[in-house]
Amino acid sequence: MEWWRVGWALAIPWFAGALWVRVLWRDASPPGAWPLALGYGGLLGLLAATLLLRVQTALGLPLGWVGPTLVLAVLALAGGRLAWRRTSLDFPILGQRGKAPPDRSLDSQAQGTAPKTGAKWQQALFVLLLAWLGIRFINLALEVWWRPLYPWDAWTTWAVRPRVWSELGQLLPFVDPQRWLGDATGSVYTIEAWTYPHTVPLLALWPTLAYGGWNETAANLPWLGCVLGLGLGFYGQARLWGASALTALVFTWLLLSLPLLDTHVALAGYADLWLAAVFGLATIAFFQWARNGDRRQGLLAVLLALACPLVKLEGAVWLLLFIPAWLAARLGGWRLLAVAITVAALGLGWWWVGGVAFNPPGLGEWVLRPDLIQVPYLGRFNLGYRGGWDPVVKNFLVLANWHLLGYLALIAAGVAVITVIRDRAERWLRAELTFVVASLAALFVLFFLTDAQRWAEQYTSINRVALDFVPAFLFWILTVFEQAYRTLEPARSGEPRDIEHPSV
Amino acid sequence: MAMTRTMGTRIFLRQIQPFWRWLLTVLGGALLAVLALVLFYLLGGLAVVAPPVVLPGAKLQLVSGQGKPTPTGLEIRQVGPQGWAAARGTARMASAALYRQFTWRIDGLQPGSEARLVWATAADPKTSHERVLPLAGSDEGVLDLGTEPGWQGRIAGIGLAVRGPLSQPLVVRHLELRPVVPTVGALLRWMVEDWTTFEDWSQRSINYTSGAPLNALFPPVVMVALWVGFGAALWALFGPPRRAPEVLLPLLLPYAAFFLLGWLTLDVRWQWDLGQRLTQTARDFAGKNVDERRLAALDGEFYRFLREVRQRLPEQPARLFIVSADPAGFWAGRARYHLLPHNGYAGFARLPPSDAARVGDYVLILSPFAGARYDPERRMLEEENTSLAVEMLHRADLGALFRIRGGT
Repeated sequence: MEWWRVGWALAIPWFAGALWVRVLWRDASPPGAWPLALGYGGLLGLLAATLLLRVQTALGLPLGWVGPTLVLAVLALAGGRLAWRRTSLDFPILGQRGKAPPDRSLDSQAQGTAPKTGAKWQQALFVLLLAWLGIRFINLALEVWWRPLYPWDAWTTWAVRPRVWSELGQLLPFVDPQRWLGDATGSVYTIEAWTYPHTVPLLALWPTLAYGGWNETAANLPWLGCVLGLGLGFYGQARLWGASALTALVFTWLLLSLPLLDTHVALAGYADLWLAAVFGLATIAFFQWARNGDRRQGLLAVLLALACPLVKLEGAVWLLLFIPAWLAARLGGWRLLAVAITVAALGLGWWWVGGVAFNPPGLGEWVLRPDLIQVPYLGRFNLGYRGGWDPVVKNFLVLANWHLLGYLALIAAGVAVITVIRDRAERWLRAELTFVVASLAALFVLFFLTDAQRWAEQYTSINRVALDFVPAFLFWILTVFEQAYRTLEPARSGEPRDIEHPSV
Repeated sequence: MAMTRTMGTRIFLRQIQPFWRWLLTVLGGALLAVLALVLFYLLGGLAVVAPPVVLPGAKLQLVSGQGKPTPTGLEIRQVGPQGWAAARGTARMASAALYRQFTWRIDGLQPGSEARLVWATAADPKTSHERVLPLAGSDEGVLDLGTEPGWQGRIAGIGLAVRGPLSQPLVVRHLELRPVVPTVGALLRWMVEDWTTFEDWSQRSINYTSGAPLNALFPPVVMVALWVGFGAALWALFGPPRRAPEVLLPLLLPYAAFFLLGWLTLDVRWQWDLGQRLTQTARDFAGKNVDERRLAALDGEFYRFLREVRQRLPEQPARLFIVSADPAGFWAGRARYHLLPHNGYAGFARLPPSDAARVGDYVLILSPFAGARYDPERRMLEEENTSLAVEMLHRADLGALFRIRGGT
């Protein structure tokens, strides 16, 4: 019976979120709308459940899953009613391509020229790939089901809060060790990483409340939901972008087959998978918005982007990466150049005066100097070049962490740069490239200019931090190849180039 | 009718000819990838991928005898009580099959001295193996370990043992393991081993997946990348003539297929690995309840001890100071987690300060811990300037539990 309750606790937020996201596309049924709704909505639903737990506590109500589940069930019914009334509720996963994107993707060309048997082998390949992904998911699910909580930070950090909250039935505060030592009430707890955000602990807590007590398997189940949401969201967005079902599934397989990502599912308990999913899907929605200004995608991007700092502290830093990408998406020509020059001049001036330090009330001391960055709650980083490409080469091109993704990214980067230079690429492509370059620059600063370099040398976090960016980078690779293909293909067949934005 | 059938067969064969050609380039690419790596190692590439493991004397740790590190090396002045001086260092998990040559330089050895190479393997780190060094009156020497029965698998650490008494101080300048260029057959066996080595879950798994031994000569990812590259190059050279097709797809599809086949190969291998891991997980944990699973986990014995500790703790969460020699280590962290929701903190390498520990709080000391001692008569836990009036509730090999009581 307790597992039924866990099932409901996970399913109801999922469907509430999915139906409300589906409502956004209620006027049409573009291919990928349902997978997108299930993926984005599922994650948003689970995040909403954690917000409701916070609200419940803030209102002084006893900690429990029934109240938030009822709220989410009502939302699901309302969303379902809206979605049912306005959509045809079809599930175009294998079927026809949508009317919106121009029909010039790799597979559409194949469909256009290949004989019927070609379409059959594509369908067969689609089914085989889906089965392969199913085997992978079952394998990972069984690991989650059988294995007790395993990875280090899970039992030192991320699972400590939910276990205490679950067993004591209240969201007791966690403070720094010094304060804990001086506390006479015994009602505060401590962990070293006491400043870490509460969302991931609340996600682990949620199913255990339904279970009726602490249970590691129940606490780890949301990690399966997370990877499922990531896969569905990625697939749906690829379809909405204009990729055929097979191309979208191939890229989804590339993502879900990555050994490091799979490991974070099998050995559930770390927050990195959540940030990868939330930040990745936010970025992909941002790419879509940058392409055609679709406000629904903008809304999804904003909602998930706002959740990033609630998942991990570095999520707040990654949000800054959207600023240059947004500027590249919205500005063009001399305006973009003017902004770039202004930013460069400000950076030079900052360097010239030796940086700044300020202490806004309630926000702690900020130091932004060329030799030191200090941001409250985030940390203090001594800056200075600490070279070392060996860990980068080893982890991305030699070890098994990412299969061939490192090589694929290098090829895609070359294609993207050539496309941007040769074809005066459109803003969305520039925005994507700006985002990728800014992300790589951020990673360079982290692993080459700060003490975090030793985390790279010891392989402790270089891959986990990279995981945050992988879903977005893989989607970017998909769009780069699609765009390059579209740009080349009409030229070869003598047609005028047509790279206009499709409406979704 | 027969003629039509023959024509149909011809057309069919013509249609599938590009596929067979593509398949041949796949095989050719694989052969070239293997050949390229084998030639690379035979022609000197081994030094790049597997550089000598050098242990400078100054970085050796003296575990028996007296001496100190100096700029020139480790100086050993006197042997230990057993009549031997010993120093050790890490061998970076060097492969015994590859690193078969041991060299050393020790200044000050007299004729008739006896020195031994000591090593331990990763598979059995608690067993040490020895080999007497052939000292021919020289400070330096080379030893081939290829025929040593204990020189197998991965070498976790090597060291040096010197018999006393010493007539003058010795200076160990360096110890070194050098790779020996293998034969083609050995390289191919090596390749098979790199591809078939099973990597189980470990605490490192969450940070990286090596996919092969860390210092593999034939890392699957690199091999597959070479395979895809060579295959694509062969297709570009020997593929069907390009007749400017109307669409790009037939032109690009073979290259995309090369790449996806490479990815699939790695993914099949990863799935095989995951399947093996799942089999082990099922064997250890399937069908067991929560308590049985914890007992079957890698810290099962420790959990059993903590279960006994928990029985001595009150029902309601108590404040618990977990003291250990390694407060940031595995056992301290596991103790804290297993004893939740007791209000524990594991960050103590010393006894908690007297003003922080209150009557009714608990102190769990994990063995081995030499920092504090318990005086059973006075019922006091003492450590330098700290002393706590306690009541001992439980004592076992893995640790002891105390409750802080009133009085002094």
